[in-house]
This record gives sequence, structure tokens and C-alpha cells, in this order.
Amino acid sequence: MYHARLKFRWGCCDREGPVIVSELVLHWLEREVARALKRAGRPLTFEEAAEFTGRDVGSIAKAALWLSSKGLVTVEEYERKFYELGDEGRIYAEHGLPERRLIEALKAAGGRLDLKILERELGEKEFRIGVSWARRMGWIEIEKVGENVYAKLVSEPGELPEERLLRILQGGEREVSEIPEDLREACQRLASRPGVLEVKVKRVHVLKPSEVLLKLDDSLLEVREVTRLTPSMLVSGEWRQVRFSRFDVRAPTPPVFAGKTHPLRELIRIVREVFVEMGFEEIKGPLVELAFWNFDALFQPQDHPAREMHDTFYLAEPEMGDLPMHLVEPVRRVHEDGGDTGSTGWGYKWREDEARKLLLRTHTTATTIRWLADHREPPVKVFSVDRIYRNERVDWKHLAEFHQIEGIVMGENVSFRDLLGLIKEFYARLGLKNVRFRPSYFPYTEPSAEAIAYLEDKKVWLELIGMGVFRPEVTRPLGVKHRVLAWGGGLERLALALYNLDDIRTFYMNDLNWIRGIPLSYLRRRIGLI
Amino acid sequence: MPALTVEKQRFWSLLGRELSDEELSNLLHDLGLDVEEITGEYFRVEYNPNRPDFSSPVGIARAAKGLLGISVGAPRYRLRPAKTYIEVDPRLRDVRPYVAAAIVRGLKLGAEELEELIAMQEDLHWILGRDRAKVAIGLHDYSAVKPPFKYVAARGDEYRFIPLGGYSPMTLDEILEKHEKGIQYAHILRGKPFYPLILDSLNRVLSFPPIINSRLTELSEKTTDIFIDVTGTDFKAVIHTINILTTTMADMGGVVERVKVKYPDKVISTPIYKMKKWRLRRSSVNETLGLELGSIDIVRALRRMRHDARARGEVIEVTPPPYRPDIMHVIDLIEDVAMGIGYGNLEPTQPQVLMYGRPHPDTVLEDLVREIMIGLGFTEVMNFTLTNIESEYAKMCVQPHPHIKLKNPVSQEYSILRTWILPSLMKTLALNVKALYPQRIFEIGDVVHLDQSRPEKATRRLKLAAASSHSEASYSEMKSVVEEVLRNLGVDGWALNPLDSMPFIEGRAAQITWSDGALGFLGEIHPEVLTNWKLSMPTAAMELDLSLLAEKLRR
Repeated sequence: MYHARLKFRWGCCDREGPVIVSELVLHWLEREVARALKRAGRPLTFEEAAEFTGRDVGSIAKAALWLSSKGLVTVEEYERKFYELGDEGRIYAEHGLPERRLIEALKAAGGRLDLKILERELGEKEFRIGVSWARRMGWIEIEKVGENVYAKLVSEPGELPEERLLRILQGGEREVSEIPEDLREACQRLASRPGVLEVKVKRVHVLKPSEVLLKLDDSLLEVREVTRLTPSMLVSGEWRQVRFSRFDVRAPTPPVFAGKTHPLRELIRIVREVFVEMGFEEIKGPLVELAFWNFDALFQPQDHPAREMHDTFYLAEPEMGDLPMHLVEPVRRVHEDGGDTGSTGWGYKWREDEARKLLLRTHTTATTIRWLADHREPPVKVFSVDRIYRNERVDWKHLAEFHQIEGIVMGENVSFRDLLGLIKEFYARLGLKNVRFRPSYFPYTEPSAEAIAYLEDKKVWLELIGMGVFRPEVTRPLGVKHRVLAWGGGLERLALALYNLDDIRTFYMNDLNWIRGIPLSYLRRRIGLI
Repeated sequence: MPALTVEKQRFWSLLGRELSDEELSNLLHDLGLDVEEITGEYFRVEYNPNRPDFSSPVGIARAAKGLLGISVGAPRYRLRPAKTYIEVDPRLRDVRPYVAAAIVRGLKLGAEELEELIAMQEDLHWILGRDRAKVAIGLHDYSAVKPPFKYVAARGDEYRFIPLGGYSPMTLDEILEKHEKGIQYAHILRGKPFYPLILDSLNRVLSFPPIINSRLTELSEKTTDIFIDVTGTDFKAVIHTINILTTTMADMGGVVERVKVKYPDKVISTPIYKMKKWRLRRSSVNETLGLELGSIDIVRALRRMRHDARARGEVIEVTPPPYRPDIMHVIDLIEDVAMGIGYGNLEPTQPQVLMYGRPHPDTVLEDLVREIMIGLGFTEVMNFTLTNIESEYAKMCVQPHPHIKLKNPVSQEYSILRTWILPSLMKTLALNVKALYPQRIFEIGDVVHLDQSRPEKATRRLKLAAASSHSEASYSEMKSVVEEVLRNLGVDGWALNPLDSMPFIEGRAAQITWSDGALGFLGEIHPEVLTNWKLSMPTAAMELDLSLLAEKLRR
């Protein structure tokens, strides 16, 4: 079929034994190719088979290999030679052979022309080739008259076979066997001229159906299309015989939502990580607390406004708790006259009943002070991120229940400047690099300060926390002799700023659309941890 | 925090200098004031209750002059000796025992100053006076009365006078019953055998502390001489109050004249400007602040904070100005040293306290449980522990468990503490009926149980609750979840016992027990409960006591 050289053949001839049709299991791709061969009734190249089946050549090659191993086809690999124009040849095809252009020039000049003029008109290279070929073919003669040399047209040639060949090849490559007999010689001649003709070798694979294939029942070659791959298909191997329907890969799919942590919890975890990285140990304490720990141990006088009903949730049931008796006297004295702390005290009559009241802790400092009472010797470095309560009407700015971040450090020689350094480091790790301090007041710390941080994106200063050194009136009655650095502040306020929210209630509304919508990566990116 | 609005022009004239907005803002912050607003005409600040002397523009300017270096050290106030007296009725001992009085002469009060004095009086009532219970102030036009004065114990029908804001004479009882201020403050005098009253020598009423003044002595722009009475239950607070009032009026140009207070057992003259002298060790300043200041640096900083200070070697003697009642301990002066230097000038340092950090064991457990739940496709929610009987029990169709009741909640919505988490999850589902299903949520949080064995009579417990809400939600789905959670926590040998009670469907709930402890429960939520929460999606739920789990796991 092809005037090409057979290089390899594989297939039927490699097999031992006959093909047993009843044992044939054909992959859907094999079926498609076999069907195409049957229908064509002749051998097909891979390219033809690809066109027939709508598959790519790679798939056809794969199927050909499988089919040949089953004795259903022979695959022959041929080498085919093609002629195509070289760079020079393309110029000739467009502008004519140099000798033809020479003749045309002479004709235009009346049959005779000075060689120097000819050279100028044709260019040096074309001129040389043209003169050489025209003379060889006997179309021109060279005359010498005095100093001048002329070319003289002797006979005008008709169309040359070379010129026909150029015209044919100008339309694209031609297989060597397709070139007409009468142009074979012209081919040789043109091929001998550099850069005019090139020979290209191509490999062609031909699928030749075997007799068995041509007789196969059509039902064996049907391709079933399926939507779902089932476990049973996998077990039976049926998956090899079916074709999977193509999906619209861009079609919308139902949403799925990752189970995830609450956005506020994310911040709590990050804050906790920062504390632990900085060497703090986490502590937890009671939510229902004695007024003693919440206020009295923190040197808040019993008539302090913060202790009043409208700021603090007191308990109706149970109403009173039991005081830590060993601390009652030292705390009473420090309130009344300062005891041995060097303080004037508040100068009022301290009452146990007031201290026994039960309440919902208004700050986690109640828990840190409990810890200090049990851990009087340095070093102490503890923290908590935990719930506190304020008896406030809930609105977009206020919650009755929220979280407080709190840390304390007790050491032999800690100072107020150390506290500033701690806070700077702490907030830098939460992505707040621009932190400033200003004087503030808390009943249980002195000196006291407030830390504010600049939010680059919002261009505002955010109040972060209150901080200070526990007053001697707080530490001494507990038997703590060293300075204690302490700080505390609301978590939700920081969370509002970091999540760019306005309404603090958002955190406790648990709107699933909101929780699902916030990328889990958001906070860590915002803080700069990623 | 109390707030104060100050006209810039007024402030510049008190300072004797004008400042740019930035300078002003920095200055106010350095004084420990919270700057709310600075406009072209005025600025608004909040001040901390430890500095009642900041209750007037005069007080702020006085402190600002120190930091600006315009005048340093304690201001010198001259006190004229007493020419008259106020006599104290011994029967007041159990009513409102203390009184202080003063006369300030030669004031030229414009509308502005008058307003400042009234505002200051209100703030002091609140800060030092605990809303008049502890201290109450009366300011009177001195020209309307005739000294000497009497602080007497009176019966409710004994005296009649026209109160401020009234038009006809009223008895004390009538005032407490009908007058706006009387109604507001009657509680302070409730149950007292007598009422306190201040009279002049003609037995005319000046004031009925802590309720109201007489119209007789109302201040006006014509007032040049003011008589001040301060009454209260705390002697120190009474003296602090009259000190702050009189020093402020002195700074307004008044001349302060003392008044003798004749108690049954002693006679004193008020105001009392003599302040306790403190001895401050240089080393304790430096150790506390982390600085290496010389005594002179400390003196300079304290004088900028308007204290009188003198270095005697290692010891600095400090006398605060008479308007600084907040100095209770040397530590308060150490803070003033830091403020005198300026917090912005303190270079932060790192403490040399080496400790290794670790999270609380409950947090570790909590995070583990959270990881398992998230792995099971559940999303975390966070709810309040504050709740109410209706949500916590009624809507769940169960009898109330023993629980914490609050005495004084501002809102009935938050009147108890939760004892289980499931109702919180129902609330969350109810708020999310418009969100896509399936909804699988969980919460790890605290509940509070009564506990007589603890000093605070209550104990917080960590619980896990989960709910799955969708058209196919069932007991078996939740049972698989419980099994997987417990398997991953390494809990062996737990058991399920049928549980036929609300909030679950009979026959579709179980109690989870482990080595004879009740670890929790699970089940399909009863349609009645779902309906109570306006839910129209089948829901299965479970709750586990993580505190109990932790106790047993640690054992």
C-alpha cells in the first residue's frame, strides 16, 4: 500500500497459538479501534484511526499494542521519504531558477548584454549560478569584444522539469514515491544543488486487522458509557470495557463546609500560644468567686463603686461563701489602717460579711491573686485567657460575659520597665508592633499604665490593656515579698479590631454563615504568623 | 470614669500659654487623662477616680503647669485663721458624724467659673462621696447668712425651708417624699433617728445634707464670698473633699478662711492643709522602676508632679499638695516619679525571670476533643454561660437542675448560670434556620454546678456538647460520634443505658456511663423540644462531662 520501507512489524506473527475469541476481554479503547478497522475494511495509520475514533494518537498506539498482543492486529512501522524545499529552493520557487532569470534578463535586453551589467542586475551569487547552468545547457554563448565580455542568447528553453518540480513542492512536501517518473531526473539534479531540495524521513505506523478481527461479532466491540465507577466494576474488571462519560468540570457542585474552630477560639489559641512561648504557665480558677478574692484581696475598699450592684453580678443563691481564714486578718488590717505595709489603709471598718458575698468574677485577677496566695516565692509566671462577667446591658459595645487576657510575673528583681518590655514583646507577637504606654489607674496596681497600639489599617489607636505592679497592700498580706508585674485586658475588643467588626455580639451569635465564611487562615495571616 | 469638658481659651489663660493640639494631647495623656476629643474650641477628657483634683479645669491646669515646668513643687496656699465656727450636735454621731467648713472670700465668679464649681461638686459627690452617701457638699452665698453655724440633728417635721428647685417651704419629711432630690437620696437617711441639718445663728436652714441646699444661699454671679459645708460618714474623705474644693477656689482667686468645728469632745479648724510627710528611699524608686536615678532626678520629677520634695542623701522627703488624697503609700509617689519623667521616656526592658511555659491540662484535653470533633466535620460555636430558666429548662421540657441564681441581673435574659450546654446548642440551631444544612455544631465550654464542699459553693465543669441537624439526623449517627470521640480519648469499658426522658424521644436516647460515673448522654431530640425552638429539622445530640473524664483519665 505504501511505497515506503517496512522497518518493523509486530502483532499476529509474534503470538503463539490461535486467538480464542470466547476469552477475549477488550478495553473500551481497543473496542473503538477494532470497530474503526472493521468499518474501514482496510489497514489504517494511527493518525487515521485517531481521526475515526476521535481519540488522540497516543491512545491509538496504546490500543494498538494491546490489540496486537491479542493477535487481532499487526502493526507495521514504515519509513516514508518526503521531498521538501530547502531555503534556497523556496527562493527559486518564488522568483525562478537563477538560469531562468538570466535568460529573462537577456531577453529584456534584446538578446545580448554586458556580463558586468548582468551581474549587477542578478546579484553576484545568482549571476554565477545562472551563467554556469545556462552555458552548460547551451542556452547562451559568451562573446568577447575588446575589453567587454557579453552574454548572448542562443536558444530560449521551454519549461524545465526542475521548474515543474519546484511548483509542485511549493504546495508542500511530497512523498518521494508520489513524484512522477519524468521528474525523477530533475529531482536528482535539483538535489545536487545545495539548499534547494531536502529529503525527510517519517515513521508511519499502520494497523492491519487480522482475519479474526474482521470476523469478530459487532456486539463484542460495543462501548458502554457509564457515569459512576462502582466497586463491583473494579472487582470484575468491567471498568476496562466501559467508557466513563465526560463531566463538565466547571459545573457547580454543592458546597461542603469544613468543621472548624470558632473565630474567637482561634484568637484565644493564638494568645495562649504566645504566652506559652514566652514561658508562662496557664492557670484556671472559679467563675463563681468570693468578693474576698475578687475585691478585698485586691485592696478594693468595700464601698468602692466597682463593687456596687450595677457593675457586679452578685449571687442570690447561694449567697455567701467561706473565707480563707488565715488571710482574713491581714486583709482586714491593710484595708483599715494599712497594717504593716507602710500604707495608710482606707480608714474604714472592714466587714467580713461583705467579703463573703459570692459573685461572678469581674476579672481574672481574682484567679491570679489566689495563685499568688499559694505561690509566694519567685519565680512565678502565669497567665489565663478566661471568662469574666460584668452586670451590663448587652449592646453592640458591651457584653455581660466575655474573656480577659491576663498575665503576671513575680521575680527577685522585676521592674516597671520590665513590665513595659513584656507587653511590647507580647503584642509584637500578636502583630501589634507600635505600642505605647501612658499613665492609668487601678486600685490594685501602682505604678499603673495603659498600653495602646496603633492599627495601621484603621489609622487609630486601640486601647489594649491595663497593667501595673501589684501594690504592697495587695501582695504583703498574702505573704508575697517580691514585686509582681501584672496586666489584663479584654479579648473581644482585640478580636473586634483584628476581625474588622463593629458589633461585639457577633462573636456569640454563632451565625454559621459567618463562621463558615471566615477563612481559617485569616487571623494568622492578619497577625503575620504565616 | 468621670469626664470633663474644658474650653481651650479658659485652659490657655489658666496655663498662661497656648499649645498645639498635639502638644495638648501628649500633655493630657502624660497626666494620666484619657483624651476623648479635641476640637477647635474645647477638649474633653476622662480622669481616673484616684485624682478627684482633676474635677475642674483649674485642677488640670495646676498639674499641667508642673509637667510643662511653668511652676513646680507644691503650690503655696495661705489659710486665714478661723473667725467663726460650726457647732456639731452630739446626736449626729450615728447619723452623719463629720462636718468640715470653710469660707472663701473675694471670688469673682463668671458664669463659666460658677458652672465649673457646680460640675466639680457633682463629680466629687460621686468620686469621694460615693453618690453623697459618704460625703456631701453644700456651697452657699455667705452674704445671705449670719454666722456662727450649727450642724444639728433634726426631726422630720422640726424645720421648714424652701429647697433649691422649690417655691414654698417644705418640711424635711416633705422634701424626702416629694422633692426630686429628696426622692433620689432618701435611701441614705432611711432608718436614721434624726436628719442632719446646717443652720445659721438665726436658725435659718443652709442645707439638708446630703439631700439639698436651701434656696436662701443659692450661688449667683454676684456671689463673692462662699461658705462651704462638707458633711459625711468618713472624716478623711470629708477633709479631702474640702481641701480639693478650697484649693481650687484659691486658684480661682479666692482667699480661704478656716472655720472652727466644735465637736462635743474636740475642736478643729478646717480645711486642714497639713499633709503627711513621706520618706522615699532612692533605692526603692530605682528598683521598682528599673532605673538608676540620682536623688536630684527624683526630686525634680516629684516637683514636676507638684509635690514638695527634698533630698536628704539616700532619702527623699516628700510632702504632697493638700489636694492629693490619693497618696496612701510611698508606692504612689514612685508612680509620680515615673510620670514626672514621662512614661514615654522609660525604655522597655526584658525581665530576667526564667520559667518554661505550658498550657493548663484542661486546655490540652479541650484542644484534643476539639480536634476530634473538627475531624468529624463539626463546627465550633461559643455561647454564654449566663442564661435564663426559660431557655435552660422550660424549652427543653425538663425540670430545672439545681443552679446558680443571680441577685441583681440588669436583664432577665441573663439571670442564672447554665448547668448543661445542650440548650446553648439548641439556641444556636434556632438562630441558624436559614443557613445550609446539614448543620453539625459543637461547643466545649463551662457549666457551673452547686458545690457545698467548696468555699465558693460552686464549681465549674468543662463539658462537650454536639448536635447534628439535618433531614437524616438520627440516634445512630450520634452514637457513632460518641464512640469515635471516646475511642480517640482512650476511654475503654464505657456503657450505654437506655434513657427515657426529655429532651429526647423515648427509646432513642442513652446515658453514657463509665466506671460507675455518669459521663453524659445522647439521643434524638424530641419533636416537642424542636418545636419549642422553632426548629423543623431532625436533630441528634450528645453531651459529655470532660471534667469527669479528665479526673478519671488522670487517675
